[in-house]
Amino acid sequence: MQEIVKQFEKLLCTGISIKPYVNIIMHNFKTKISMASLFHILLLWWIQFNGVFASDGEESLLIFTPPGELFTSAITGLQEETEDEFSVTVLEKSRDDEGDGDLKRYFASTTPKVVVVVGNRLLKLYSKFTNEHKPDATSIPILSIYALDTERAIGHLDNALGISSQTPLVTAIVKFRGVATTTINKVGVIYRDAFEDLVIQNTKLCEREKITIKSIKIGNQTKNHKKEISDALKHLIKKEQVNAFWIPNDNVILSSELLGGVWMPLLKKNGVPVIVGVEVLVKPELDFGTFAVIPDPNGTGVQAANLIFDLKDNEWELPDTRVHPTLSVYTVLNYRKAAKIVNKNNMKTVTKIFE
Amino acid sequence: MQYFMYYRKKLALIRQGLVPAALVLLVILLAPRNLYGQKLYIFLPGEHLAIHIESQLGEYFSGIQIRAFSTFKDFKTIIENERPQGIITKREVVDHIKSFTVALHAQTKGSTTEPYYILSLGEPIQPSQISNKTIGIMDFLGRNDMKTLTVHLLGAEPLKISGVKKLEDLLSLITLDMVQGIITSANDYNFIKRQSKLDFKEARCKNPFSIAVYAADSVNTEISERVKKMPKDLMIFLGFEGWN
Repeated sequence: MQEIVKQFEKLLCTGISIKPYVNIIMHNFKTKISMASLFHILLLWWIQFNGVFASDGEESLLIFTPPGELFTSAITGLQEETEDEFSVTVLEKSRDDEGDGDLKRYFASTTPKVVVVVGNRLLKLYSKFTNEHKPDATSIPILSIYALDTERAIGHLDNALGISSQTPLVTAIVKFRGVATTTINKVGVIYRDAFEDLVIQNTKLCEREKITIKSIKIGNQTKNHKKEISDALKHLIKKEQVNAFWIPNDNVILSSELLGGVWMPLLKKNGVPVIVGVEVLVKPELDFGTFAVIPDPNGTGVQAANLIFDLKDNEWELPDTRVHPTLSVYTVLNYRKAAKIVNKNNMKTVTKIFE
Repeated sequence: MQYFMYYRKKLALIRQGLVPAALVLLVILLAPRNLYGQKLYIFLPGEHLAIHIESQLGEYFSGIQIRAFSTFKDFKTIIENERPQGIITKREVVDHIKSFTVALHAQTKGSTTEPYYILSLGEPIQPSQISNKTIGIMDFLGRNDMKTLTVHLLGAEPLKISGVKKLEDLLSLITLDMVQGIITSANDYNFIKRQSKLDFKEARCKNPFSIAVYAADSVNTEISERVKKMPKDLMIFLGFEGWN
């Protein structure tokens, strides 16, 4: 039986192991099944399964993703948009699977025109794979989504473009201004080096929206952060009199120690609304964030699909702009914190409200 | 005599039971025809989230299942599977759905169509200048059909069309400098102006699109009458003033 399995796998050339299916068949029949019958069953299975792979005339798209609800939603958006024009294959790779054998087989069997890679871990794994399979793999464009610090993550790859996983601060502030009844025209930002480009670029974009960004850059030395953040907050509240804060998704400056020791006591005392980029920070029980603006996973998938269509229209030549800002977002309001400064009539644009 | 009295009492009790039962039956028979099982599905992409459309219209259309959708693909798939008796959407959408016939046209100021505008920052973009411009638009039909409609709307083909599924994403396209101009309906322009303080320059598109229509898959007086008599505030909420 091992031999027929091997022969069949060779015939399929998909790189997918059929052993589990064979085991199920053999287990269910429990009797001696002839090799010919087994081959027929496998052939029928193959005919059915073949639908997921490239059909004639369709170009192929390979999606390389970790498991997870968020990523599934993004991939659904991407698949729905592209399935009429592309043959889409999804390779899900769990955290404990660091091998590239399946990737190699999928890559060979689907011959993708573009590879969508979700998250930093798989981006690393895939870039290692492309380096080992030059020039074939490196000639195929990579589209990175959900990678933290996208600019840096794809910076070393000549064939990659990506969608930033950070909500642009202009989008976040304009959205908050849309629900707030108080004036939101001067916003404080405290950031580290890694967010400099985002802050500088968005400061200009905010100016056009009649919003002034008052930003303070702090160093990378964690031991100084407590004092630096405390001083910066005091300066922005007292001297600059900002009417809101936008806080980047930076795990370092949002560590639990800094959150509880600096951010929360100072911001609570002054009651300045806080715009954040993750849902957990606007949970009422935390009593911290007022409004969260988060990349919409399905919308990110749709945006990725549009970038793929652009690539196709451009005959798979990469555009000059490599990192694209997140376009589609959803919003979460902490009503307990925001009750005094939001208009109930404006809340129809808010996706989720924590009361 | 005792037996007679016994049966008389018994008869009275039966009568007492029968009368309410008959009344209930009468009420059921005379009441407006039960609309349960009837469906009115709505696809009007714009300012309002689908969930809000459902909650706003749900009370008035009690007895009719109201469902709102945010993408054409979902709308089309569900319609084909569930066959609602009526739909409210744009006429351009109905043209892509088989077996639904337009019964009512939404109107504002006497017109069943609404103008569309090209919004840009800096200089206005006239439709005649569109061929070297990147343009964003709300995609309510799918990439290829939307491209055809956009070219019809403008009378010329833009350099690139970026379709988005949500109105707020359309605003983000231009806020983030991802396109040179965005195309928006007169209704949606009002929402954009409320949200953004960008200094928009506007130019009117060559052709308009329909505001909305009510279409039915068969003659269905109950739903169409309810749609026709929809309160003014609900019509305003959906973006028009009345039905023609």
